[in-house]
Amino acid sequence: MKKKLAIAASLLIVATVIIVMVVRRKDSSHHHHDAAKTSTVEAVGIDQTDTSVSMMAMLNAPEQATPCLTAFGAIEAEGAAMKLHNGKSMFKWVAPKDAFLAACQELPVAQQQCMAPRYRRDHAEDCEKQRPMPDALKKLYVGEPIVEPDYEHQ
Amino acid sequence: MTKLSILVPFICAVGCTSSVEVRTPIEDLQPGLNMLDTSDASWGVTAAYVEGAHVVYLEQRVGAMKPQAYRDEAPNEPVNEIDMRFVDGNGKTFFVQRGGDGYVDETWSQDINDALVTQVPDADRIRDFGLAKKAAGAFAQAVNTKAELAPFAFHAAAYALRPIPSEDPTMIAKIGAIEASRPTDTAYGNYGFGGSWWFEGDLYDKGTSCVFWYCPAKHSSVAVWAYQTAWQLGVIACNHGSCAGASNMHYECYSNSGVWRDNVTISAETNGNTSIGGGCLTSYSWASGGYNHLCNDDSAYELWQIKNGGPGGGSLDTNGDGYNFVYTGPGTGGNGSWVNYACTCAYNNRCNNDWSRPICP
Repeated sequence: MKKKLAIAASLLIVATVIIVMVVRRKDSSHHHHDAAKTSTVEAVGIDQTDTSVSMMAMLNAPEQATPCLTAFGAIEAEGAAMKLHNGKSMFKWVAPKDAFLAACQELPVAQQQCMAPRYRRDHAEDCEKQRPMPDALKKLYVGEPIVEPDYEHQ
Repeated sequence: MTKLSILVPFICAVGCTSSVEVRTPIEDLQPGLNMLDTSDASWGVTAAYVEGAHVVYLEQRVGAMKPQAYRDEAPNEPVNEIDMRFVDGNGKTFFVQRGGDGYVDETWSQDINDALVTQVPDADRIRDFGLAKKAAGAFAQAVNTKAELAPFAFHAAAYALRPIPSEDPTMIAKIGAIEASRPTDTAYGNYGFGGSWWFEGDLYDKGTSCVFWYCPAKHSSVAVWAYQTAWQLGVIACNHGSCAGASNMHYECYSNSGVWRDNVTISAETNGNTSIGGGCLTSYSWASGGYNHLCNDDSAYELWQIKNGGPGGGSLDTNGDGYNFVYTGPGTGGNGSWVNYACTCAYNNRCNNDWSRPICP
């Protein structure tokens, strides 16, 4: 009797296993999903840094009638954002508006387009190829110096 | 006997149903691309690609959302950090790309280390990399047409554009020097499977926060490759932004192990004394100093671990290159079982608050 019971129990367990496996297999696309880990924990500090604030202000500045006007508007937006943020601008010097616009309009059309921050972002490779000569850029702005590590040692 | 006859099937029942990872076996798949799990785009996707009698699985998992600045700067990239990997028909991981500091699915870390102690013939692995390239191309094309799945196309498409290691002139060129470094006093066979690895770390970077023709900072990422008698395993550390090998990233330099290393593991954030390729554990921020870290610290740390075979004890002294890596956490006082590796350039004079890419040590 006990033996029969044991065999019956074994068969029941095996049957249960088969059913569970079939169900699991059918539902295999769902059972192992963890909760999405889409928190912003790692990113908290990034958006508050001066560089990020500067860049976001310039990218979000409104489009104006010409790329040169858009560029100067972006610089003004950057200045305002940094004042609000109590941070340091990424520019060491920017030409006054009239001089800026005059120097910008002297650039070839393809280079003028790249003065608009969003255009430059969306056409980064093309704009890199359109890089003006350093003297032309110095009439527009001077960025804060970037200190590079001593790559000669590598 | 009675108990045993009940216990055996019960144990079988538990054993048979406790597997966490379920991948559809090749006999149930169609030739070409098979979308296995696209039911939850906030979690990730799983696909398989079959050619002849072989299969590779492509898996992507969604991680933390990137900071707004990164999303604004690269609107064509996924808004979340995404991990991606390829797994062979035997369930072994042979390529993984990590979006942030740790794996979204923590089991991937162990899977990578399992790959370092499992023998795979070179020809099989070369075939797997080739299949992965085809899988990535087909997958990117398929998901690009569905809005909710489109973010998963980005990294797959980038992978599909890369040459596989055995066809990459740069990777091929490195082999001569690597083979020449094999110890001559050891039988060649001992340096086949289960034993030693040669590690290579390739540093890629791009200008970041760019406006006009001025980029005040750089983002960097490291591609870690493991070699035995062929390139067997790739681990790309994207360090929160664009990934090494992507079209917008430029190759800069490399570091390598310089020696053949035994019993090495590759981990993300749980670095041990023989771990390679981990990033920095501390908070991620551009407000560097105070043990915070950013992508360039991760890159520096990854490159140094490749060179040193692990962080070593106390602190990893990198005097001269502008980076220091120090322990922090309960373990530092000898009263805890873990330590964090904080990467910082606060104590040196040439790393510009970590905003430039590191050197290759």
